[in-house]
Parts: sequence; structure tokens; C-alpha cells
Amino acid sequence: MTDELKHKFEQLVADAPPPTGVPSEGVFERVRIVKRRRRATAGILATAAVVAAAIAAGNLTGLNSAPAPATNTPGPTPIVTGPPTIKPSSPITRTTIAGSVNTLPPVQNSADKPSGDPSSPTTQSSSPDKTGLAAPPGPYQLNFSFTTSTDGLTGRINITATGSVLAPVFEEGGSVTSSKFHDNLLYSEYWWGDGTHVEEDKYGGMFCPQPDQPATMKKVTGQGVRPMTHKYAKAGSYQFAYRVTYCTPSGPVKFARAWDITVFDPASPKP
Amino acid sequence: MDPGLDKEFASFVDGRFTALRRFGYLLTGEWHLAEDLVQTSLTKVWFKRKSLRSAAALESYTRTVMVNTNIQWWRRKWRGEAPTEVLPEPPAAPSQYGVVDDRDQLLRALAELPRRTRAALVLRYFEDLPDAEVAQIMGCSSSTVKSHISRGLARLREHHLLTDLPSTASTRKEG
Repeated sequence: MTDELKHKFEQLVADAPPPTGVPSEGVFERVRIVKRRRRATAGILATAAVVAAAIAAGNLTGLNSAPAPATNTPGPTPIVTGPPTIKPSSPITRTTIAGSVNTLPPVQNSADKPSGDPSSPTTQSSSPDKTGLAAPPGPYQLNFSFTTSTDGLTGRINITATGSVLAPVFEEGGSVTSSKFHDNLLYSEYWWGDGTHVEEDKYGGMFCPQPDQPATMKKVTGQGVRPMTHKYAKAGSYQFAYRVTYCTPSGPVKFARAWDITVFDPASPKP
Repeated sequence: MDPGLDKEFASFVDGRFTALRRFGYLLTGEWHLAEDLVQTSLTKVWFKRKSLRSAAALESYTRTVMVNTNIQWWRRKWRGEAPTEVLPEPPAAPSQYGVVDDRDQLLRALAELPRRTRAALVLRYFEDLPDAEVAQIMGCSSSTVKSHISRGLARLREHHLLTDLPSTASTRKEG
């Protein structure tokens, strides 16, 4: 009976070898590594952004990009840089796929009308806080476009997001810094319609910047494509659903879209 | 770090690690991979620990992260080479150690199942969780869980591992 399978499972794990070391020490070591890696990445990229801004501001003015000659200007000229703006470094990739291709009309999702919890603090966000700092100026909105294609039992979806968002912040401080635009979206998940559910894996511990802490806000503008592929077990029509949450000075904004994908078994003729 | 919260978390990890590692083994089929899965999942859970007040919530969320992480690993990691604790042996005459053979056969059958189907079977029959709780952990509906379990049991029956099992309908436990 059902106990048979339980009994077999218990037999499988009956002679478990001892764990390597004290479990909690191993976990805390991993936590420290993750935190160090996040800080290091954020530090390096922030420095790179400041250097890039300094170069753009004209610090290197010579013909061979040599530093400008010293002048009698008293003291160094301060360079004021805003939060670094990240743009995707890689171009949009387009894949040629045999089979049907369908481009869904683009959808605009504006932060002016947040669809999140109305009880969330969304109205006081853009106002300056006590430190006199203000959130990076808007507009904050994302345009989504979707391209779907099928190849036999395989469904492919390209999700293109274009616009401006706030980078999520880590629980222990610091903002997300990534050359991939989709990494700057707080959370996204997909349902392929056959029971397969995919969540973006970002180690958890990430939040939208608090509306009353504009100093933690980093505006990210750009475009990114997230290609998704899934092979279905059998032919049929499935409903794919996509849900994303991204950050704005008004708080998190949600966007969701669902549509049907029909896949065919290449071994059998199309109906 | 919050020392009080971390102490509670460490206590949870040390107390439940063995059980979670067993669950991980049934998901992955390999002890070292199971330990890696548990530690990776617990690292993710640590960042969410403030919103998980009770030990039950911590454990349930940890299992959710384990199931999802295992599926993500399967999709992302290079799978051309599988780590193993023992060297493969050439096929020999049927062993007298029937139990070991059974276990090996079950592991092979589990390895052929889709990840989510395997997770549903383990959660349902090893962890003794009702369908509703399995659905919550796996992030799907109860009917999807039942479908996974039905397909999984059918596949195990094909391997003649579960000859004693009745039809799926009578084995379901209502959530």
C-alpha cells in the first residue's frame, strides 16, 4: 500500500553518511560569501561608473586622453555624479526559429498607476526626505513586448522590457548592479501552463528601496531581453503566464500577462 | 546580523539538517549533492528569515526553496557528468542482497522522473504531507500535485517497484 513506498524511501535514506562539519557553520560561511560577493560586485561596478562619469565630464582632455594640464585653479574641481545608470552592454539577440512566430503587441506599464497593494506607502515616495535628497527624477515606466514561437513541442518566448526602474536593494545594504537589465527587476516568475513554474533565483533578501530613503534609490534605464524555452511533454494548447514586480519611487509595481501557446508533436500531423 | 535571530536560525539548521538532507537525497539521489542543496537553500532562506517567524514556516519555506533550487540546478548546471560516491561496477549475476538491489532500482526509477513529479512523490509519501501542503510548497494547485503523483506512481509501477500499490485514486490523502 502507500506504506510500501514510504518504507522504500526510508530504506533509501537509512544509512545516511554524517554531514561534513557543523551544518549551521557551513550555512553561515555561505551567507558570508554571498554578502562579500555582493559588496565586491557593487563596489567594483560603482567605481567603474564613477570613473566613466569622470571621463565623460572631461577630466581627460588631451588629444591622447592625457590628463588636462595643471592650472592655477585652487583645489580640485568636485565632480558631482548622480546614481550610476546601467545600460545593457549586449545587443538584443534574435533567434531564427523554424515554426510559427507570433509577436504580441507591446504593453506599457506605468508607475504612475501602481497596481500593487493600495495600502502600500506609494504617495509620499518622491518627496524629499529630511536629508534634502530626492528620488532620481522619473518617469518610471516599463514597456513590455513579447515574441513567442514554437518548434515542435518546444515553446520559446522572448520578453523584452524597456524603460526605467529603481534597482532593488539588498537587505544588508547596497543596490543590485548588473549589466543585464532584467536583473534589475525585483522578482519575476513564469508559468508554462503544464505545471512548470519558474522563479527568478536571486538569493532572496532583496527589496525595493524604502520611499523615505531616496539615498538608496538608483535609477536604471535600459532595455533587456529575457529568452525563455520550455519543452512540453505532449502537444496541446497551454496558457503561459508571466508576472514581474519592479521598483519605483512609489513602491513596487506589478505587471502580469498571460496568453496561449499551442505546440504540436512533430511526429504527428497538425490538426 | 541580528544575534538573536541568527541563534534561532542556527538552532533550526542544526536541529533539522539531517531531515532536510534526507529530503534532499530523495530529490537528487546523491548525498553530497543533497548536502549542497540543503546548504544553498538554507543560505537563501537566511536572507528571508525575518519574515519567517515560526520553525514550521522556516521548514516549509526551506522545502519550497529546495524543490525550486533543485529544478533550477537541473536546468542550469552542466549535466554531462554526474558526481558519484562509488565507482560503477559491471553488470553481474543477480545479487543476493535484494534490499540493496531494490534501493538501486528505486533510485534509478526516481532519476527518470521529471523533477517536479519526483518532488511531489517525496513530499507526499516520504514527508507524509497532504496534497494541499505539497501544492503550497511546490507553488501549484492540488490538482496538479495529484496529477504529478498519479503519473509518478504509474512510472514506478512500470518498473515493477510498486506492485502492491492500489490505483492512485484510493491512495490520495485529502488536503
